[in-house]
Amino acid sequence: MNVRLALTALATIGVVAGHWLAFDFAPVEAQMGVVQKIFYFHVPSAMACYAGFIACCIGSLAYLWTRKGRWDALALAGAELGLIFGLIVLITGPLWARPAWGVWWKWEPRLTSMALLVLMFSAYWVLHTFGGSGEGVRRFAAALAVFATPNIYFVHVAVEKWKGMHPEIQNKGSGGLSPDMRTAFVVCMVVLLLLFGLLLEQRYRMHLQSRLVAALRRRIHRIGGDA
Amino acid sequence: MNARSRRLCVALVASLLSVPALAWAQNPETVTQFVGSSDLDAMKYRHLWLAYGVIWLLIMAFVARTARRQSELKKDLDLLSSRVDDMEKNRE
Repeated sequence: MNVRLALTALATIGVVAGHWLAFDFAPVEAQMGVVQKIFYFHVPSAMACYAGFIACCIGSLAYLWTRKGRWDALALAGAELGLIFGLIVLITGPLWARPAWGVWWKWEPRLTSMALLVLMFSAYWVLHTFGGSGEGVRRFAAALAVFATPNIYFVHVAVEKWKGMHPEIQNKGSGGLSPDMRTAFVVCMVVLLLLFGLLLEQRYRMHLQSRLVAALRRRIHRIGGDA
Repeated sequence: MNARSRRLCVALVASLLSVPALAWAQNPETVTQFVGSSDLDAMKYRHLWLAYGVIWLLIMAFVARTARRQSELKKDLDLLSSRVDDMEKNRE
């Protein structure tokens, strides 16, 4: 059986199971009410966002080292997925914050650093996509990704180091999650990371094909035809 | 759209459609009166559905866009490969 097909089927079942666990199995949180259920896909989206940016950093470092196009393709695919999941985090966060805190946005450490991280990788994507096809642009974009990635650490430790209003449930000393909530959370996390992996592979393949098409066009041009 | 992308799209659409089906499968108690909830409660439900709508809308849009681009690239690849073969045969 095709592994990709099996993983897609698993992700599909997982998405359904994740929604059932989040909406029906996990209890409603006592203080925030139903809006807390955003948590089950908001936090895994943040993890998928980090994973995308880390994939971008690994691809960029490998590209700077080897100059092989496939690493650049991996970096671009990682950045795109990181941005999609980062956008999800930045949209679902305020939708949670408005009923929970009474405001859409607060310039507190976790939110501000996350917004900055997404902006940095947006700059990478804009540069890579619209900066032309030159080797110099790719190298510059790769260096930008390498320098932007350590900010993930600051986003992650922001609540612990600088405090703020953002909930920090998984920290030492915090109340944590009730067992049913934890089950729902773990399943949603695994499902979203699996979906992330499938999408990353798909997007990586797409960028490789795109490079192949560009190479064929150049070859036709060299031979003397009209591509 | 190639077969893999189509499978991924179908799988995601099927999973999204099964969420309301699951919700409908519940057996609610018989309602004897309608009581308005507070504004805050209503907002919590509205925002919850909006958040999940945004999550899956963005992911589906991304999958659809990737699938469309892959399909275009596959066509281009086939066309350009055959053109390169023809040109090289003509040169010989």
